[in-house]
Amino acid sequence: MNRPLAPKFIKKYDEYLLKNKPELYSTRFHWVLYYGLMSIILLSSIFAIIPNDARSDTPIFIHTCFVVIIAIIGLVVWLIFLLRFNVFKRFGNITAIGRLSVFWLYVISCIIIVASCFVPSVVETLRANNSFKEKELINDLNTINTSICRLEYDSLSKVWNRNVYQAFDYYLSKKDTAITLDENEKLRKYYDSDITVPAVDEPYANDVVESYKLDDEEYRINSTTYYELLKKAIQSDSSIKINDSTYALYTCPAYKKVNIKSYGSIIDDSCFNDTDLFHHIFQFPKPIDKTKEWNTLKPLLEKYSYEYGSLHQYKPPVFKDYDTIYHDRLQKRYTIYTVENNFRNIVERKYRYSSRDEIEFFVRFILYPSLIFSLLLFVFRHSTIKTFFLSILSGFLLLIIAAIITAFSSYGNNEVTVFAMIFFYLLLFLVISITTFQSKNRTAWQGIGINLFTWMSYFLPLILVSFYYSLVKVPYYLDQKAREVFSEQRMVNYLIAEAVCPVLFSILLVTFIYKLYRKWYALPQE
Amino acid sequence: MNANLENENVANTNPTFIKRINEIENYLKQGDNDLLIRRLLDLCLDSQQQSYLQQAINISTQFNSKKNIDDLLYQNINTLLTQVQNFLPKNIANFSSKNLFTATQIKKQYSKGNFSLHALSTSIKPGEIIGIVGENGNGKTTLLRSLARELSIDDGLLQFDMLNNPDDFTIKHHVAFIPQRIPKWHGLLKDNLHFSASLSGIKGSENDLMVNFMLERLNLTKFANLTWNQISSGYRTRFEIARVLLQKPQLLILDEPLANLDIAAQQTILTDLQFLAKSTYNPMGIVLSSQQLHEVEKVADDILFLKQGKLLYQSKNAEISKKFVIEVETPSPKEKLQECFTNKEVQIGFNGGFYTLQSTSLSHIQMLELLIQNSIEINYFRNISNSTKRFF
Repeated sequence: MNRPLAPKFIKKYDEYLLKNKPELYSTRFHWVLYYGLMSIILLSSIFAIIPNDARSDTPIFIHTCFVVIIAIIGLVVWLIFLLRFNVFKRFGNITAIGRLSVFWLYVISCIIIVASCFVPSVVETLRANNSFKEKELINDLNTINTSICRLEYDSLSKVWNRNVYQAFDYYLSKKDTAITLDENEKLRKYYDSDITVPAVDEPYANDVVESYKLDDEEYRINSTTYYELLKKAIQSDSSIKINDSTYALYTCPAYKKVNIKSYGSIIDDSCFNDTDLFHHIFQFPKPIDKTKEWNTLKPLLEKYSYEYGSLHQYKPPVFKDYDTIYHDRLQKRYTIYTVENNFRNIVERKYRYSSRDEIEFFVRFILYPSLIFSLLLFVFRHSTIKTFFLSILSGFLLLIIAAIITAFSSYGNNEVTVFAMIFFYLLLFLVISITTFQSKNRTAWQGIGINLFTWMSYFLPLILVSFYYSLVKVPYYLDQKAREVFSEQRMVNYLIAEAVCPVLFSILLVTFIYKLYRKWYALPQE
Repeated sequence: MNANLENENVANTNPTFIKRINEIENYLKQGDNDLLIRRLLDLCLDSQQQSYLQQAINISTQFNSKKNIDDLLYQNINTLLTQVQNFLPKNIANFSSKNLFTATQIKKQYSKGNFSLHALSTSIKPGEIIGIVGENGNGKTTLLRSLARELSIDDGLLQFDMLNNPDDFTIKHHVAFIPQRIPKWHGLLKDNLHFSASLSGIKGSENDLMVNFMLERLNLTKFANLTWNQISSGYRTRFEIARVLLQKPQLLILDEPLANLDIAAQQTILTDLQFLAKSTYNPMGIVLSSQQLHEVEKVADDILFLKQGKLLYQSKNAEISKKFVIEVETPSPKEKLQECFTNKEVQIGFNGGFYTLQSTSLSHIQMLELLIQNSIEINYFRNISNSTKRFF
């Protein structure tokens, strides 16, 4: 058969598999791998060439949609070829390794197809990393913020905002752990330590007062919990201890005009914050040459003025009547919105795959749809068409029944009901499946049981862990610190369950599921 | 199949092989070239030597391209025959005396509908052919599907003696069933054949060899690189047979395999099935149903006639008929025929096409002689005294 752009070696390998490894041949994995890699290289080249400035708004949604359409076409073509040959339905002998490799080759094929959808975003990230180095971005951002502050020195506030908080549940068993004034670092250490934070029913501190006088000013005291106080102290820019349970917390005015905190905390942490700017400019003010400062700032404003497909020359702002607020005038004068947007676009592209959470998310985003689809494919390849579609229908019906039962369940915790139902279904499908071994005829309901059991059995460890945590979570939630420990533990257990899933399913597939299908599919019909 | 001939240096004294070589030599002398090539391929397959089979395939390819045997080809055939004669094939399969399956009083009643297959018993040995005949809707397909374990039986015992305590999957691995409506193939026809061979453990170069053999044997080479939609229904049947044979079944069950074939192809396929069933490479039993009574009767070792789900006649167990029945086609009116048999105990029936003459006192030859003596013009004549045709 003529296959476009297929070199000789892959055709020869295809022929080798056809004549020697029918079960591997039937997966058509080698073609998915070859055409998948070819497509990824081609798409990468296209997305590396087409104009896409890192400062511009990302067109990634459109690009990804385009690639998703191509991936869907690829998936359909693969399915058409895949469904041509089936060793199992021809009653061919399949070795244990063959059974395993066929399923996992489905999964890898699906992963290749799903992963290709991420080509545009990965290429965009690589391009952004290539165009803008981290150090350059930090320098530019610091220079812009410093220059704006210097140029706007007279207009900016120099007074820090102050709030006084008192912990009504303050209690410390050891005096030496007391928080000293303005020692945020120590406070952090204290917060991270394993000191037992008292529960809400601890006795109230005796020194509760309603207001406090500081620097000749009367401050209303905000009552809070000790835990919240610690959190606020960490977030504050400075703090003064009034007594063991009362602190004055200070917040520096917002000097940082170009702010990308919510988009790129990685580089934002390395940039000057409001306090740094205060120390640099306002704490010990020096006279500046405004023209020189402007000449430093202007090229940077122009560098980050990418809008509507091109960079713009800096133009002095034209203020309108409604630009009465200082903030708005500042925005216009320094084109802060555009500069900030440019920075955000760059940072969004650069750090898309930087954090562990994001990488975990993307891995799951690729892995789980691939697994679910592969399981469906595996079930389809081992079942009759009628039974396969009846299984899907039954799955939906049982889902609706479970939802109704959960909604009307008298038990307080819905999560428990949901997982109990899932676990019950799993056991039910297992029992139905096992009856096949005693059956004399092939029946649809047994096929449905086997299909749904197979489909669910992959997730068995996750179902068990979820069921366990839905049962035990309530007592832990009483304590904040314990809840965090509990959450971490739960996360670890979920990760372990995720790792156990493929191993357990592989064992089940080889030892039990294949035997079920073998028995059921070969049974005579009524 | 052995690729190396060095260790096979033993003079061939196997009488079956000698007989088959003589048969081929006779075809060569008499110019029955098509049959010669087919039987040469069979012989080389049974020799279980890859080199012989490859030579036979080459000869067949050359013959099919020219459609005649020139001197060079003649010489090649003779050389090959001499080679085969000089080497005794290793592991010559002796046909097992064990039944492939034994059906004892099997019954089948559909839960929906009122048709039921009444109790019947039969069995088959390797190399045998059972023909199942009967009118439409009388249980032929039900019986075949039951034997293939496609349908469950309600009562009786169906044992696959060839297999040791088999499950249904193993049974279906060894029993091939070709339904009347063959499911569509996808992809190239040749790829499907390679896949089937590979499924049954024929791998690598042997896979190529066996596929090429089957294509040549069933005269399908020129269609090998086409797709299902590009061939006629007759060739589809042949390809399906080729595919199934490559899976080396021990029992082959065919439902109306002749339905889509022309008269010549029907004869070819039946003789091919007969030869292949008796192949020492893979001896197998064949059960087939057909409306082509005479063609099936010619090749079948046992005939089962079904009427309304009941086994009306089984040739294996039947006594030789004492009644002579002939089928005659003549333009003469019935009255003229009756005149021929005046004072003779002959019953004359007419179904609109043929006259059926039945007698217990006159043999078929005597009846024919009387017709000729009375100058009855005969277009067609057939002795159906022992044929199931008399039940229709």
